Amino acid sequence: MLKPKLIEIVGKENVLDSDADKLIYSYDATQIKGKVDYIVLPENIEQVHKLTRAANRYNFVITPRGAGTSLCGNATPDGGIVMDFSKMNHIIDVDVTKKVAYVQPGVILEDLNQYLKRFELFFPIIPSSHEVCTIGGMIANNAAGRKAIKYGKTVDWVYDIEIVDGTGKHYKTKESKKFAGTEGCIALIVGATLKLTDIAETQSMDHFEFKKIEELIDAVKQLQKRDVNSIEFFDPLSAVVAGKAPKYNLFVEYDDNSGKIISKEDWDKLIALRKNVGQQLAVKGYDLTSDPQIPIESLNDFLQWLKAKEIPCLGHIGIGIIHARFSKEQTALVEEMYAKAKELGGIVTGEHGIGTLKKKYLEAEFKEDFMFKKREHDPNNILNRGKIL
Amino acid sequence: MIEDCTLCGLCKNACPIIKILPDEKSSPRAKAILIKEKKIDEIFNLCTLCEGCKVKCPNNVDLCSEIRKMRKRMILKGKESEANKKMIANVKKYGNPFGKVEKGKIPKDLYCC
Repeated sequence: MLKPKLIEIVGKENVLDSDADKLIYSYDATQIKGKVDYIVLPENIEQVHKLTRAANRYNFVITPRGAGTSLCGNATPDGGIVMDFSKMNHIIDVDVTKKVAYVQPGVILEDLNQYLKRFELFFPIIPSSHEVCTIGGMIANNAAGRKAIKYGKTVDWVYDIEIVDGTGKHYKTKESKKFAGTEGCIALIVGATLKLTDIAETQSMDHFEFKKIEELIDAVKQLQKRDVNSIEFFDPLSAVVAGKAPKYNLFVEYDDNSGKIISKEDWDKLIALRKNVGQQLAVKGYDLTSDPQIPIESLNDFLQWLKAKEIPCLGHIGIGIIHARFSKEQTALVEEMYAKAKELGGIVTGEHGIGTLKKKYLEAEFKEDFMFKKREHDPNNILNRGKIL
Repeated sequence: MIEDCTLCGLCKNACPIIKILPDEKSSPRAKAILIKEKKIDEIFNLCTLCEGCKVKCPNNVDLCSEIRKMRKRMILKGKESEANKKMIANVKKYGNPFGKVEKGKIPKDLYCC
C-alpha cells in the first residue's frame, strides 16, 4: 500500500525493497540487525518534505541514514523506511572570503575537504570515520574526533542548518545547538552552512610511549597548555593488539613545526596505527565500544579503573573522550563503567550519541529536556523512533 | 576472513563503484553483509575486483576473493548475468569476449567481467 506513494514522491529508481536491499540496510556499524520495509533515496528537499508529510499521514517511521557508521544503533532501523541521503551529496556553494560552504547532508567529509584544498581551507572536525562519514550524520551526532582539543565539535562549525522537522516544517535556522546531536529524532538535516578554516602551512607530530598512567596524564596536562590540534592515545592492551609493546601510546599533532615527525610517510603510519586499533580490537572480540567523556582531573582514576578490569581503551584523551571497548564476557561491566564515569563527573557520551545502546544510562533530566523538543518538533514520533528516548 | 569484517564501512572510501553509485547498496560493505548472511544477489557483479577495499580495511579483509567465490556460486546456480553468459559464449566460439569482430570495426557489444 505504501510503495506506490513512495514511488510517486521519489520515483521508482529511488525506492528499494528487495530482500537483499532490506538486509543491507538493516545494519549500520553497530552490527545489530534491525528491520526495514522500504529504503528511499531522496534527491532533493522537496522529496524529503513530502516523505515527512506522508509519514505523518500514513503513520510510518523514518530512520535517517548518512554513511551508516553509527556505533550505538543510531541508524539501525526498526521497521518503516530508511531514508538514505547519499544522493543529496552536492557541495552547493563555497564562499572563500567568508570561509563558509553550503552543502547537502549526504556530502562526505573527505570529499568536502579534498574539494576545499584548492582554496587552502578545510572543515576541521575529523572523526575516525572521516573518509566516509557524511556532514548530515556528523551534525546529527555532533561528532568530535581527533582534532577536537583545538576545534571542538561539529556544532561549533555550523553557521546555520536547513531542516525538515517531524511535523513537515521546512526552514533554515541558526539554532544549530538545538538540533545538533539529536540523531535525527526531531528533524532531518537537509542542508548546512559550514564554517571553514585555513589549512596550516606547516604541521608536525609527536609519538610518546609511557609505562604508567600517571606519566600519560602528566604529559596530557602539559600538552593541553600548548597550541596542539590533537592528543590521542591507546592503552597497553590495545598496543599489544596493534603489534606494539604493552605501553600507553600518545599521539600529538601540531599546526607548526614543534613536533619531531614531519615526513608524510611516518605521519600516515602513526595516524593509521591509532585509527585502526579500534577495529583490530573488534576482531579480537572487543566489539562493543563506548565514548564517555571524563574531566581531566578524574582521568587518572578512570583509566586505573579500566586497567584493573582489563578493559582496553583508546580515544581523544585531550578532551577526555575515552573509547573503552568490551568483549562479550565483559558486557556486565558496561553499566558499571558508565556509573563510574558519572561518579567521576563525566558524561555518558562524548561523540557517538545515544542511539539504542545508551538509553538506559541517561539522566532523567536529559530525557525530560529531550522529550520537550520531541513534542515540539515530532509529536507523532515518526523520526528515528526508539532512539534516545 | 569475512568474519573479521566489523561493518565499519571504511572500505567505502576506496571503492570506485560507490563514487558513481553512492547508495549503500553499491558499497563493499553491502557485499560483506550478503556474504556473511550467505545471500546471492546481482550486486556481486557491481565490483571491479580492484582490492581498494582491502587496502582501506583496518582488518585486511580480502573481500574481492569472497566476491569471486560468490560469482562462481552464482554461475553454478544459473544466476550469472546475461552479459557474462554472452561473454563466455563468445570466448568459446570466437576466442574473444566481444564476438565476431570485423577488422577495423569497433565491436557492437563491449563486455567486462
